[in-house]
Amino acid sequence: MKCEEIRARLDEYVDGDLTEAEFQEVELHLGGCPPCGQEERQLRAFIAEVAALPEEIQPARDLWPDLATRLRGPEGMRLVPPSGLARWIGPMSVAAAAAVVVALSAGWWTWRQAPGVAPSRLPGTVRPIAVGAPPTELLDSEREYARATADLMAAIEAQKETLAPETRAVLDANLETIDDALAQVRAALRQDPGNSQLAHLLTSTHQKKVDALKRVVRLNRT
Amino acid sequence: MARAQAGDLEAFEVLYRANLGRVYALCYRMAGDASLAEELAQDVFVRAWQRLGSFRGDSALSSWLHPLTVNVALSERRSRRRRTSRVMSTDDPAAFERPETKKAGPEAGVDIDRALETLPPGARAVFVLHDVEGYKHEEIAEMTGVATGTSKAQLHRARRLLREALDR
Repeated sequence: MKCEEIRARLDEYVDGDLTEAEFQEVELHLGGCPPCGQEERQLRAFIAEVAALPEEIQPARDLWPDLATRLRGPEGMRLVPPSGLARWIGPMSVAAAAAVVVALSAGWWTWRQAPGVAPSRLPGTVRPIAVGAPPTELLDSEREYARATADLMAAIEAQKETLAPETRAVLDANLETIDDALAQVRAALRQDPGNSQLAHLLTSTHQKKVDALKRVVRLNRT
Repeated sequence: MARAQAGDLEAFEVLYRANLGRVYALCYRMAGDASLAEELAQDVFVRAWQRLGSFRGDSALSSWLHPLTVNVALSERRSRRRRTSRVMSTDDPAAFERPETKKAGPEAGVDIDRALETLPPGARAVFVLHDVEGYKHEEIAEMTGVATGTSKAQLHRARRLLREALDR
Protein backbone atom coordinates (compact mmCIF):
# COMPACT_ATOMS: atom_id res chain seq x y z
CA MET A 1 0.00 0.00 0.00
CA LYS A 2 1.06 3.58 -0.62
CA CYS A 3 1.47 6.10 2.21
CA GLU A 4 -1.80 7.79 1.24
CA GLU A 5 -3.72 4.53 1.55
CA ILE A 6 -2.03 3.69 4.84
CA ARG A 7 -2.93 7.07 6.33
CA ALA A 8 -6.54 6.64 5.24
CA ARG A 9 -6.63 3.47 7.35
CA LEU A 10 -4.81 4.75 10.42
CA ASP A 11 -8.01 5.44 12.37
CA GLU A 12 -9.19 1.88 11.86
CA TYR A 13 -5.69 0.65 12.70
CA VAL A 14 -5.51 2.41 16.06
CA ASP A 15 -9.14 1.52 16.86
CA GLY A 16 -8.51 -2.18 16.12
CA ASP A 17 -11.10 -2.26 13.34
CA LEU A 18 -8.90 -3.90 10.68
CA THR A 19 -8.76 -7.57 9.80
CA GLU A 20 -5.64 -9.41 10.88
CA ALA A 21 -4.22 -9.32 7.35
CA GLU A 22 -4.90 -5.60 6.96
CA PHE A 23 -3.48 -4.91 10.39
CA GLN A 24 -0.25 -6.73 9.54
CA GLU A 25 0.05 -4.85 6.26
CA VAL A 26 -0.32 -1.44 7.92
CA GLU A 27 2.01 -2.38 10.74
CA LEU A 28 4.68 -3.53 8.34
CA HIS A 29 4.44 -0.23 6.46
CA LEU A 30 4.59 1.87 9.64
CA GLY A 31 7.74 0.05 10.75
CA GLY A 32 9.55 1.09 7.59
CA CYS A 33 8.09 4.54 6.92
CA PRO A 34 9.09 7.25 9.44
CA PRO A 35 6.57 9.90 8.17
CA CYS A 36 3.64 7.47 8.46
CA GLY A 37 4.98 6.25 11.82
CA GLN A 38 5.05 9.85 13.00
CA GLU A 39 1.46 10.33 11.79
CA GLU A 40 0.36 7.25 13.73
CA ARG A 41 2.03 8.49 16.94
CA GLN A 42 0.38 11.91 16.58
CA LEU A 43 -3.03 10.33 16.09
CA ARG A 44 -2.58 8.14 19.16
CA ALA A 45 -1.42 11.15 21.20
CA PHE A 46 -4.46 13.14 20.09
CA ILE A 47 -6.88 10.34 21.02
CA ALA A 48 -5.20 10.00 24.42
CA GLU A 49 -5.47 13.76 24.95
CA VAL A 50 -9.19 13.69 24.15
CA ALA A 51 -9.77 10.75 26.48
CA ALA A 52 -8.14 12.76 29.26
CA LEU A 53 -10.41 15.80 28.86
CA PRO A 54 -11.84 16.99 32.17
CA GLU A 55 -15.02 15.17 33.15
CA GLU A 56 -16.58 18.33 34.49
CA ILE A 57 -17.23 21.78 33.07
CA GLN A 58 -19.20 24.39 34.98
CA PRO A 59 -21.61 26.67 33.08
CA ALA A 60 -20.85 30.38 32.99
CA ARG A 61 -23.93 31.23 35.06
CA ASP A 62 -25.92 29.71 37.89
CA LEU A 63 -28.69 27.63 36.29
CA TRP A 64 -30.41 26.72 39.56
CA PRO A 65 -32.80 29.73 39.85
CA ASP A 66 -34.32 29.03 36.42
CA LEU A 67 -34.34 25.29 37.04
CA ALA A 68 -36.00 25.68 40.44
CA THR A 69 -38.72 27.82 38.86
CA ARG A 70 -39.40 25.08 36.32
CA LEU A 71 -39.48 22.42 39.02
CA ARG A 72 -42.01 24.41 41.05
CA GLY A 73 -44.29 24.59 38.00
CA PRO A 74 -46.17 21.90 36.08
CA GLU A 75 -42.91 20.40 34.80
CA GLY A 76 -42.02 19.58 38.39
CA MET A 77 -44.60 16.83 38.63
CA ARG A 78 -43.23 13.40 39.27
CA LEU A 79 -43.94 10.91 36.49
CA VAL A 80 -44.67 7.22 36.80
CA PRO A 81 -41.40 5.39 36.11
CA PRO A 82 -41.81 3.15 33.06
CA SER A 83 -39.70 0.42 34.65
CA GLY A 84 -42.43 -0.17 37.20
CA LEU A 85 -45.91 0.27 35.81
CA ALA A 86 -45.01 -0.53 32.23
CA ARG A 87 -44.52 -4.20 33.04
CA TRP A 88 -47.90 -4.24 34.69
CA ILE A 89 -50.29 -2.12 32.66
CA GLY A 90 -48.36 -1.36 29.48
CA PRO A 91 -46.72 1.78 28.13
CA MET A 92 -49.89 3.43 26.80
CA SER A 93 -51.52 3.08 30.16
CA VAL A 94 -48.50 4.50 31.91
CA ALA A 95 -48.76 7.54 29.69
CA ALA A 96 -52.44 7.84 30.47
CA ALA A 97 -51.88 7.45 34.19
CA ALA A 98 -49.06 9.97 34.09
CA ALA A 99 -51.32 12.38 32.22
CA VAL A 100 -53.92 12.05 34.95
CA VAL A 101 -51.39 12.90 37.63
CA VAL A 102 -49.93 15.76 35.60
CA ALA A 103 -53.37 17.17 34.81
CA LEU A 104 -54.38 16.96 38.42
CA SER A 105 -51.25 18.65 39.59
CA ALA A 106 -51.43 21.31 36.90
CA GLY A 107 -54.90 22.18 38.18
CA TRP A 108 -53.63 22.39 41.72
CA TRP A 109 -50.60 24.41 40.70
CA THR A 110 -52.73 26.78 38.63
CA TRP A 111 -54.96 27.37 41.61
CA ARG A 112 -51.95 27.94 43.87
CA GLN A 113 -50.51 30.48 41.45
CA ALA A 114 -53.78 32.33 40.87
CA PRO A 115 -56.29 31.54 43.62
CA GLY A 116 -58.79 33.99 42.17
CA VAL A 117 -59.12 31.95 39.00
CA ALA A 118 -61.20 28.80 39.06
CA PRO A 119 -59.62 25.73 37.47
CA SER A 120 -61.27 24.50 34.32
CA ARG A 121 -64.27 22.25 34.79
CA LEU A 122 -63.42 18.58 34.81
CA PRO A 123 -65.80 15.88 33.64
CA GLY A 124 -67.02 13.69 36.43
CA THR A 125 -69.28 11.00 37.68
CA VAL A 126 -68.73 12.05 41.27
CA ARG A 127 -71.35 14.72 41.66
CA PRO A 128 -69.76 18.15 41.12
CA ILE A 129 -70.41 20.86 43.66
CA ALA A 130 -72.17 23.91 42.34
CA VAL A 131 -70.52 27.25 42.92
CA GLY A 132 -71.86 28.61 46.18
CA ALA A 133 -73.19 25.22 47.29
CA PRO A 134 -73.87 24.75 51.01
CA PRO A 135 -71.37 22.73 53.11
CA THR A 136 -73.75 19.74 53.30
CA GLU A 137 -73.27 19.12 49.58
CA LEU A 138 -69.55 19.13 50.14
CA LEU A 139 -69.92 16.52 52.86
CA ASP A 140 -72.05 14.37 50.56
CA SER A 141 -69.39 14.62 47.88
CA GLU A 142 -66.70 13.61 50.37
CA ARG A 143 -68.74 10.53 51.40
CA GLU A 144 -69.44 9.59 47.79
CA TYR A 145 -65.77 9.91 46.96
CA ALA A 146 -64.69 7.90 50.00
CA ARG A 147 -67.05 5.08 49.05
CA ALA A 148 -65.91 4.96 45.41
CA THR A 149 -62.26 5.11 46.42
CA ALA A 150 -62.66 2.37 49.01
CA ASP A 151 -64.31 0.04 46.47
CA LEU A 152 -61.56 0.63 43.94
CA MET A 153 -58.76 0.26 46.47
CA ALA A 154 -60.33 -3.05 47.57
CA ALA A 155 -60.26 -4.23 43.97
CA ILE A 156 -56.60 -3.24 43.67
CA GLU A 157 -55.76 -4.95 46.95
CA ALA A 158 -57.38 -8.12 45.60
CA GLN A 159 -55.05 -7.96 42.60
CA LYS A 160 -52.06 -7.17 44.77
CA GLU A 161 -50.46 -10.57 44.21
CA THR A 162 -49.96 -9.74 40.55
CA LEU A 163 -48.00 -6.58 41.35
CA ALA A 164 -44.22 -6.43 41.56
CA PRO A 165 -43.12 -4.72 44.81
CA GLU A 166 -41.58 -1.82 42.93
CA THR A 167 -44.78 -1.43 40.90
CA ARG A 168 -46.78 -1.28 44.08
CA ALA A 169 -44.36 1.32 45.41
CA VAL A 170 -44.83 3.44 42.29
CA LEU A 171 -48.59 3.20 42.56
CA ASP A 172 -48.47 4.13 46.23
CA ALA A 173 -46.18 7.08 45.53
CA ASN A 174 -48.56 8.44 42.90
CA LEU A 175 -51.60 7.98 45.11
CA GLU A 176 -49.69 9.79 47.81
CA THR A 177 -49.20 12.73 45.44
CA ILE A 178 -52.93 12.90 44.79
CA ASP A 179 -53.73 12.53 48.48
CA ASP A 180 -51.30 15.34 49.30
CA ALA A 181 -53.14 17.58 46.87
CA LEU A 182 -56.48 16.59 48.43
CA ALA A 183 -55.14 17.28 51.91
CA GLN A 184 -54.00 20.73 50.87
CA VAL A 185 -57.34 21.58 49.33
CA ARG A 186 -59.13 20.38 52.48
CA ALA A 187 -56.80 22.44 54.66
CA ALA A 188 -57.46 25.50 52.51
CA LEU A 189 -61.21 24.86 52.79
CA ARG A 190 -60.94 24.72 56.56
CA GLN A 191 -59.41 28.19 56.44
CA ASP A 192 -61.96 29.46 53.94
CA PRO A 193 -65.09 27.23 54.12
CA GLY A 194 -67.16 29.45 51.86
CA ASN A 195 -64.72 29.42 48.94
CA SER A 196 -66.71 27.85 46.12
CA GLN A 197 -63.69 27.56 43.86
CA LEU A 198 -61.93 25.44 46.46
CA ALA A 199 -65.01 23.28 46.81
CA HIS A 200 -65.07 22.76 43.08
CA LEU A 201 -61.37 21.90 43.07
CA LEU A 202 -61.95 19.35 45.81
CA THR A 203 -64.60 17.48 43.84
CA SER A 204 -62.53 17.67 40.69
CA THR A 205 -59.56 16.22 42.55
CA HIS A 206 -61.75 13.49 44.01
CA GLN A 207 -62.88 12.59 40.54
CA LYS A 208 -59.33 12.48 39.23
CA LYS A 209 -58.32 10.00 41.89
CA VAL A 210 -61.36 7.85 41.23
CA ASP A 211 -60.68 7.94 37.48
CA ALA A 212 -57.03 6.99 38.01
CA LEU A 213 -57.95 4.07 40.26
CA LYS A 214 -60.63 2.89 37.85
CA ARG A 215 -58.15 2.91 35.04
CA VAL A 216 -55.64 0.89 37.04
CA VAL A 217 -58.27 -1.72 37.99
CA ARG A 218 -59.61 -1.97 34.45
CA LEU A 219 -56.19 -2.27 32.85
CA ASN A 220 -54.99 -4.86 35.30
CA ARG A 221 -57.95 -7.04 34.41
CA THR A 222 -57.31 -6.92 30.66
CA MET B 1 -31.47 11.18 48.15
CA ALA B 2 -34.50 9.98 50.10
CA ARG B 3 -35.50 13.57 50.80
CA ALA B 4 -35.14 14.53 47.15
CA GLN B 5 -37.18 11.50 46.12
CA ALA B 6 -39.85 12.59 48.56
CA GLY B 7 -40.07 15.96 46.79
CA ASP B 8 -37.66 18.12 48.80
CA LEU B 9 -36.33 20.70 46.34
CA GLU B 10 -33.48 21.79 48.62
CA ALA B 11 -32.24 18.23 48.83
CA PHE B 12 -32.45 17.97 45.05
CA GLU B 13 -30.39 21.15 44.71
CA VAL B 14 -27.55 19.42 46.56
CA LEU B 15 -27.69 16.50 44.12
CA TYR B 16 -27.91 18.93 41.21
CA ARG B 17 -24.82 20.87 42.28
CA ALA B 18 -22.84 17.68 42.83
CA ASN B 19 -23.63 16.43 39.32
CA LEU B 20 -23.97 19.60 37.25
CA GLY B 21 -20.33 19.65 36.08
CA ARG B 22 -20.53 16.25 34.42
CA VAL B 23 -23.97 16.81 32.95
CA TYR B 24 -23.08 20.23 31.58
CA ALA B 25 -19.76 19.00 30.16
CA LEU B 26 -21.52 16.30 28.16
CA CYS B 27 -24.28 18.68 27.02
CA TYR B 28 -21.76 21.31 25.99
CA ARG B 29 -19.61 18.88 24.04
CA MET B 30 -22.61 17.27 22.34
CA ALA B 31 -24.29 20.59 21.51
CA GLY B 32 -21.20 22.60 20.66
CA ASP B 33 -22.89 25.68 22.02
CA ALA B 34 -22.76 27.03 25.57
CA SER B 35 -26.26 28.57 25.60
CA LEU B 36 -27.87 25.46 24.18
CA ALA B 37 -25.90 23.35 26.65
CA GLU B 38 -27.40 25.38 29.52
CA GLU B 39 -30.90 24.62 28.24
CA LEU B 40 -30.08 20.95 27.77
CA ALA B 41 -28.56 20.63 31.24
CA GLN B 42 -31.72 22.12 32.74
CA ASP B 43 -33.83 19.69 30.70
CA VAL B 44 -31.75 16.80 32.03
CA PHE B 45 -32.37 17.82 35.64
CA VAL B 46 -36.09 18.40 35.01
CA ARG B 47 -36.32 14.85 33.66
CA ALA B 48 -34.21 13.56 36.52
CA TRP B 49 -36.54 15.22 39.04
CA GLN B 50 -39.59 13.75 37.31
CA ARG B 51 -38.09 10.25 37.31
CA LEU B 52 -36.15 10.32 40.56
CA GLY B 53 -38.58 7.80 42.04
CA SER B 54 -37.21 5.16 39.68
CA PHE B 55 -33.63 5.63 40.92
CA ARG B 56 -32.93 2.60 43.11
CA GLY B 57 -29.44 3.47 44.24
CA ASP B 58 -27.91 0.39 42.60
CA SER B 59 -25.37 2.68 40.95
CA ALA B 60 -24.07 6.19 41.49
CA LEU B 61 -26.48 8.98 40.59
CA SER B 62 -23.95 10.21 38.04
CA SER B 63 -24.16 6.84 36.24
CA TRP B 64 -27.96 7.06 36.26
CA LEU B 65 -27.81 10.59 34.86
CA HIS B 66 -25.38 9.76 32.06
CA PRO B 67 -27.71 7.95 29.62
CA LEU B 68 -30.42 10.45 30.47
CA THR B 69 -28.08 13.26 29.42
CA VAL B 70 -27.11 11.49 26.19
CA ASN B 71 -30.80 10.98 25.35
CA VAL B 72 -31.66 14.61 25.98
CA ALA B 73 -28.76 15.83 23.83
CA LEU B 74 -29.54 13.41 20.99
CA SER B 75 -33.26 14.20 21.10
CA GLU B 76 -32.51 17.88 20.77
CA ARG B 77 -30.25 17.20 17.80
CA ARG B 78 -32.93 15.08 16.13
CA SER B 79 -35.62 17.71 16.61
CA ARG B 80 -33.27 20.44 15.39
CA ARG B 81 -32.52 18.37 12.30
CA ARG B 82 -36.25 17.90 11.65
CA ARG B 83 -36.81 21.65 11.96
CA THR B 84 -33.93 22.29 9.60
CA SER B 85 -35.15 19.74 7.08
CA ARG B 86 -38.56 21.43 6.99
CA VAL B 87 -36.90 24.72 6.10
CA MET B 88 -34.19 23.41 3.77
CA SER B 89 -35.64 21.40 0.93
CA THR B 90 -32.94 19.02 -0.24
CA ASP B 91 -32.45 15.32 -0.67
CA ASP B 92 -28.81 15.53 0.33
CA PRO B 93 -28.50 14.58 4.02
CA ALA B 94 -24.89 15.72 3.99
CA ALA B 95 -26.21 19.26 3.54
CA PHE B 96 -27.20 19.25 7.20
CA GLU B 97 -23.82 17.96 8.28
CA ARG B 98 -21.64 20.67 6.84
CA PRO B 99 -19.58 22.61 9.33
CA GLU B 100 -21.23 25.55 10.95
CA THR B 101 -20.02 28.97 9.90
CA LYS B 102 -18.38 29.56 13.26
CA LYS B 103 -14.67 28.85 13.05
CA ALA B 104 -12.24 28.07 15.82
CA GLY B 105 -10.36 31.10 17.01
CA PRO B 106 -6.61 31.23 17.61
CA GLU B 107 -7.09 29.90 21.15
CA ALA B 108 -8.53 26.68 19.70
CA GLY B 109 -4.98 25.44 19.17
CA VAL B 110 -4.86 24.61 22.84
CA ASP B 111 -8.52 24.01 23.47
CA ILE B 112 -10.17 20.86 22.20
CA ASP B 113 -13.52 21.78 23.70
CA ARG B 114 -13.63 25.05 21.81
CA ALA B 115 -12.59 23.32 18.61
CA LEU B 116 -15.45 20.86 19.07
CA GLU B 117 -17.86 23.74 18.47
CA THR B 118 -16.70 23.95 14.88
CA LEU B 119 -17.51 20.33 14.01
CA PRO B 120 -20.58 19.31 12.00
CA PRO B 121 -23.24 18.17 14.50
CA GLY B 122 -23.30 14.53 13.41
CA ALA B 123 -19.54 14.11 13.52
CA ARG B 124 -19.34 15.94 16.84
CA ALA B 125 -21.92 13.67 18.47
CA VAL B 126 -20.15 10.49 17.33
CA PHE B 127 -16.73 11.86 18.33
CA VAL B 128 -17.89 12.83 21.82
CA LEU B 129 -19.69 9.54 22.40
CA HIS B 130 -16.78 7.43 21.13
CA ASP B 131 -13.56 9.22 21.99
CA VAL B 132 -14.64 11.20 25.06
CA GLU B 133 -17.33 8.98 26.59
CA GLY B 134 -16.02 5.60 25.46
CA TYR B 135 -19.10 4.18 23.70
CA LYS B 136 -18.63 1.54 21.00
CA HIS B 137 -19.76 2.15 17.43
CA GLU B 138 -22.50 -0.46 17.78
CA GLU B 139 -23.90 1.40 20.79
CA ILE B 140 -23.64 4.75 19.03
CA ALA B 141 -25.38 3.35 15.97
CA GLU B 142 -28.24 2.15 18.14
CA MET B 143 -28.53 5.46 19.99
CA THR B 144 -28.29 7.72 16.96
CA GLY B 145 -30.05 5.55 14.39
CA VAL B 146 -27.16 5.55 11.91
CA ALA B 147 -25.31 2.53 10.51
CA THR B 148 -22.14 1.37 12.26
CA GLY B 149 -20.13 2.23 9.16
CA THR B 150 -21.54 5.75 9.17
CA SER B 151 -20.58 6.11 12.81
CA LYS B 152 -17.01 5.11 12.02
CA ALA B 153 -16.83 7.45 9.05
CA GLN B 154 -18.14 10.33 11.17
CA LEU B 155 -15.55 9.60 13.85
CA HIS B 156 -12.66 9.60 11.41
CA ARG B 157 -13.93 12.79 9.84
CA ALA B 158 -14.26 14.48 13.22
CA ARG B 159 -10.74 13.51 14.25
CA ARG B 160 -9.34 14.82 10.98
CA LEU B 161 -11.20 18.13 11.23
CA LEU B 162 -10.23 18.60 14.86
CA ARG B 163 -6.58 17.81 14.30
CA GLU B 164 -6.55 20.25 11.40
CA ALA B 165 -8.18 22.94 13.52
CA LEU B 166 -5.82 22.29 16.42
CA ASP B 167 -2.78 21.69 14.23
CA ARG B 168 -1.99 18.39 15.94
